[in-house]
Amino acid sequence: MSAAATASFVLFPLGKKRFALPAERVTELARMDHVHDFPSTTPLVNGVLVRRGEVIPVCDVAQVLVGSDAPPRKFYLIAKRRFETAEERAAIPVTGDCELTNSELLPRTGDLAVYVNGLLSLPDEIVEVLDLETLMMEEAR
Amino acid sequence: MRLTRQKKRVQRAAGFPVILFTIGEQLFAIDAALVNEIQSLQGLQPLGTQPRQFGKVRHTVTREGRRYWVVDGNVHLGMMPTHSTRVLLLDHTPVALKVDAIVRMTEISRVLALPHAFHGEERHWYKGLALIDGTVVPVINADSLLSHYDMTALEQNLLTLASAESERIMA
Repeated sequence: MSAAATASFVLFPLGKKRFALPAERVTELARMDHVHDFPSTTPLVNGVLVRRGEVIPVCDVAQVLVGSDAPPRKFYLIAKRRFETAEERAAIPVTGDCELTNSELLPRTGDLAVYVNGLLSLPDEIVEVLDLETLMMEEAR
Repeated sequence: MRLTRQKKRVQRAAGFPVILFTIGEQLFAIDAALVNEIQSLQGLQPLGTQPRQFGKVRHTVTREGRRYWVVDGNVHLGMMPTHSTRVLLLDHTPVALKVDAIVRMTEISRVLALPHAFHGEERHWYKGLALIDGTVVPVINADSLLSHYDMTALEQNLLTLASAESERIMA
């Protein structure tokens, strides 16, 4: 019997729930910073951060994942997003400390949202692993 | 010494001047080379009823025999109404942009591409973003204000209104 393959994930809280992203997609955790906003029509993108001269869009996925009653965000999880011709970093506001974990990615079940890539079975909880691109695209539809 | 000064001049030439203006609380920039003149709202002529898709054009202004379609910056950018006081008359097209206030002119070294995460109308509205004194400022894409198609349709609508008015007077 072969051992199940494990991978690294970053767990992040949004209110009472935790979600995960593949660790290779996460580049840093940053403290809250000034968000520069300007008129735009893209859902969930609230403005941009400027970090070391780089303009990073702020993608507030909490409204989709936990609704409008999410507590104040405390940090930004900065993750890479894939686009057709490029890869770009996005700042995801989260509500507390993040954690790195190694776990087996369990397949998604049918009734989960399309942006859930799979599940992590941790000692006290089941955590949804997100596909950031699908999450942002779904909300745009 | 002379060489050094020349070198500095070349470095400055790499940037380009922009006009900073506000609509509401929001700061915007536009390439100064695209702006022919800035004037107050004096002389703005209200247009008659416009088709809904041209709701952002409610006035024209005539300057040196040339008529400009005045685009309301608030409506164009989907912003709440604010108190406009100035119009920027563009150089390459008969379009003017109504804004709240002119802040100043400055020089920027480059325009940063709008991140791919933005995929709405803003991709059309802005040429990109400028970093000015630590603030992110959207740089207006002047071509997005009115297309040639829009201007032709506005012109046609104006002729129709004028024709209806003259018929009314004749009757």
